[in-house]
Amino acid sequence: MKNNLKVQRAMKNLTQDNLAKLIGVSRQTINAMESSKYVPSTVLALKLAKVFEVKVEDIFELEDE
Amino acid sequence: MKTRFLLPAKYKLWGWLIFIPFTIFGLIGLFQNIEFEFLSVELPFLFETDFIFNNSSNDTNSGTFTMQEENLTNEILGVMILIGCVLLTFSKEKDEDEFIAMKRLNSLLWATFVNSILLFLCLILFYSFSFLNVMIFNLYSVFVLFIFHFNIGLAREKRMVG
Repeated sequence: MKNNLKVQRAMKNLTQDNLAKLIGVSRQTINAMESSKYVPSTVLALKLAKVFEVKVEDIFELEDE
Repeated sequence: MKTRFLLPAKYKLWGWLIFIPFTIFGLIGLFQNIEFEFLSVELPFLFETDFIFNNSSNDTNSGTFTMQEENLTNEILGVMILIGCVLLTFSKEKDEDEFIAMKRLNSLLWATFVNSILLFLCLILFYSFSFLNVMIFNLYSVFVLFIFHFNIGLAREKRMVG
């Protein structure tokens, strides 16, 4: 699964720290998601979508195997 | 995501403060017997201390308490190391979240796996009374392996975000 968190974050002009505080996780979590090391839970994905005011599918995308 | 069975984050500091000094004492105590005189007390024993090697006298003693002197240094060291391990293993991080919960479970899995391999090697390499030392180390090895792996992993993640 790939995501465009970095782009979305830049569009909203947020730092990793800002975003982490907005959705109540650690900075490491944001970093791990952006580097595709961690796939977030549905709850966290929905929270991210809410902050960016987009649909979850606009942030996360399945990759072809 | 709520992680159950975890203590508040402040207990982690207490964990280090208890674990490090008592482990150092414990390791020294393994090689040269440390016994503090003031920790010697008379305690009721259900069995005589040598009941393992003396089966014949076992019948007369079973079920009755006999008072014997025991030095509690070893017991206190063992209990304190265990408390330190438990606090370090089961305390939340300050910023505990689902990613850290995943790292926690991964480390626990790793620690159990590595511990099994170590125990396997020890079982075929150590015999007789030297195996007693293996058993003493093995009491705490899962905890120590977990604490090592989890904290190194967290530190690495923290360094990555700068």
